[in-house]
Amino acid sequence: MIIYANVLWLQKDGYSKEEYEDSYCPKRISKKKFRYLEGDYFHFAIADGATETSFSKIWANILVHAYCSGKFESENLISNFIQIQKKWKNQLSKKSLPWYAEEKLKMGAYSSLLGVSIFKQDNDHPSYGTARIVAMGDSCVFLVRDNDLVYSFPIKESKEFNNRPMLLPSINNSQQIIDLLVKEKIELKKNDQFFLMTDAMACWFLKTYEDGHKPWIIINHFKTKKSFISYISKLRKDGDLKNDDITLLTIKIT
Amino acid sequence: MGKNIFHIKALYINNVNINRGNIMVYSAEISRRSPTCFIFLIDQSGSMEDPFGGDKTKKKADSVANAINKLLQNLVIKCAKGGEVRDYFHVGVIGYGYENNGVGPAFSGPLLGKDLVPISEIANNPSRIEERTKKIEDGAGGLVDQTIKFPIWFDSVAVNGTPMCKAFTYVMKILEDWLNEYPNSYPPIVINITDGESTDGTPLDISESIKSLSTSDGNVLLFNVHLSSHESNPILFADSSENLPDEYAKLLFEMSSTLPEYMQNVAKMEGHSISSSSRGFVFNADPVSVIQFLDIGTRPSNLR
Repeated sequence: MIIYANVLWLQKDGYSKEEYEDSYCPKRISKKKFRYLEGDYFHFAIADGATETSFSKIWANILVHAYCSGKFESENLISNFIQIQKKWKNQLSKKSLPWYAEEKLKMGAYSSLLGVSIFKQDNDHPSYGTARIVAMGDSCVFLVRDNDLVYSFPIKESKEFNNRPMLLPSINNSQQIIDLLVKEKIELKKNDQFFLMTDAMACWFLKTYEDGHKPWIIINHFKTKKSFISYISKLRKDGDLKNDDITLLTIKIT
Repeated sequence: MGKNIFHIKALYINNVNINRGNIMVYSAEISRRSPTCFIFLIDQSGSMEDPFGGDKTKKKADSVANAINKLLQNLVIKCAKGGEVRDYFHVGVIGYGYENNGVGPAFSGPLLGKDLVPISEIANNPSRIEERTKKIEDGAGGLVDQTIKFPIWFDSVAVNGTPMCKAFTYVMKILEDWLNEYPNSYPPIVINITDGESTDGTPLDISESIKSLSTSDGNVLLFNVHLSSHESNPILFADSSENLPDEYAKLLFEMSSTLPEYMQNVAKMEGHSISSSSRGFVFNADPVSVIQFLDIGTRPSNLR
């Protein structure tokens, strides 16, 4: 099994690059071209920090790195998650904040998380390989096989998207929230292609598919970041894509 | 290659058509380059000295001051991002009924005399900051006290009459200027907090004029928060005037805008009982939910 992965991202129109609040992991796939990744298993994750909470970019970063270092695979998920939450608190500035920043800090940061782990075939497993998926919120993964969409998770239809998803909090409620994480396992086939994307693009992807088209063909033609930005800008201008941060992580299995 | 380029073009055309079929009002993005506007109208008349909701120890004027400070605090926190506040909102607080039945800006402290200011200016210029305690969940099923900072921009005032018509006329002028500058923004929201007894005529006509102002995204919304001495149960987003306790409540209900469909959906998600006729009318209840209906981006459903 050879895995190629690529990531493309773009901040909201009218915002600076520093204000991009999504995150992805591993960072080593951030180059323009697909990369061959070696190893028996691979972890990939994307996260979307909520606009309405502060320090969500830091939280999104912590979550994707925690996922890619196997913290969500462990049996000790609750204690791991509490440690992950502590990491967020520890990364925040120790300097004094204005009253509103202090009050907002008490609310915590929130983020979606979508993690996909791909395991190569082993002796106990008859298939080509397996993928395990963990999700919270509205970041989605789509599996395209034989030029058709065969799997959409955790959201199945574009009408399910709204501005109020359930997200992972950086404070409190560790037990309750971990119970709400959704998990899936998929048997893989050669030439499977995964598309991981944050909500705005995922909504466009599903809408386009529901209308009888194949959005993955468009995505596969983004040969450069420039062509990706150009297409996204056009969609936003025409009102076909919500003005939101966008992260698109593509995984090809051959 | 030629075939694939054609395919992409075809999708562009198709998506444009989809969008045209779904154009909605009250859907404009709220951002720093396209902010929206909140104007709070505060009744400062002598009758606001009366008790609130049957509680003889609590004056309506104090409840108003508390409500407006809480609303401003919530708006600021909503726009706070790290150590800064993003100017998603322009906000005015206009009082009516104070000295000589006057109408004018009601901020105290550094913002004294200002009609409409960006939310970051409000954030950084409270008149003073008090410390209060509130109950929060302790994560183990119980509640604990947490000290919170409570900024004050507005102090309780209660003198003279209730020149509501004059107040709405004053707001019309502010809105007209703002709408000239931001013709495509999310429509302004006017929130009138009163005990309902207008002393300069019926405000029905002038409230209709305010609601007839618009941006390309929809008409100005007028919401009313009625603080009454009645001992009736609180009412949020009434959809009929039938069960309202007095004529003032009924008049304020008639003046209030119907909640746009988007707000109705959010209100339902927040657990309110809502119908397609529900209006922005609140009787003896906390008005903070009204401002939580506006989205400036993703708001976690589990954020409380």
